[in-house]
Amino acid sequence: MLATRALSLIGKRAISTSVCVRGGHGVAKVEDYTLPPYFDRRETPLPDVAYVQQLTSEQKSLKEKEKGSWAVLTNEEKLALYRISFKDSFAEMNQGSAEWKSVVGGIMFFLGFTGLVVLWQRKYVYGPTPHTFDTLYKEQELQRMLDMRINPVEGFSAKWDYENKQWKK
Amino acid sequence: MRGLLAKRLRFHLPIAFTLAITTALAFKYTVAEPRKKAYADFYRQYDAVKEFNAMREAGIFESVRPSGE
Repeated sequence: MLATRALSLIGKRAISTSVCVRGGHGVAKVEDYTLPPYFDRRETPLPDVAYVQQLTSEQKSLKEKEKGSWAVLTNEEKLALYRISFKDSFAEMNQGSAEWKSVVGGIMFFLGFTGLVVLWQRKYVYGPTPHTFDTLYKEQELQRMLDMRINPVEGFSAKWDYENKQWKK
Repeated sequence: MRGLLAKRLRFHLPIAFTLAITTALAFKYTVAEPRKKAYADFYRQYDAVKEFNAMREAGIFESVRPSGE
């Protein structure tokens, strides 16, 4: 896994960090912002660029050693080469965080705030309710619904006892 | 790194199908069948003319007024 990841990256690194020769005028320095960004993602395991772009002299000599046989590399050297190319390992990038607690707390806080806003609105913004909400009007509406036999099978009128003129027990 | 989707599907697909079929059966036998029975029972003893006359007396129709008027 480590070897395949490193091996596939050599070709890409060669393209992205090589210097550009333009029109015989010499080399153009590759600016950091012109390169693709590096990010650790489970879905794209091989980012477009290596993590460390400017190598120290030790790292450069290690890279030279990498060109030879890999069997002679020690484990520390292999790890150092990995860390040059990548920032987090898969285990590190996949670990969860406690961020969800802050998110849930923020959600509940803003829901509460919205509730306060709604209460204020009811008191100071809305006008009086229409006459159709008066108690007498509502009673007449209800009687008319029962007369029309609204939902007589399972719903509204099914629960009214027409013989005794009361709700069914 | 190979066959990640296949492995996931192998695990999740039977569960998905079982849950879907179970939900459908549960809905059928707790909601659909009782509802069909309720309608059948209601209309078995339904006297349309009697109900019509009761509604007419209540005064909700515009084409036929209650018999008193």
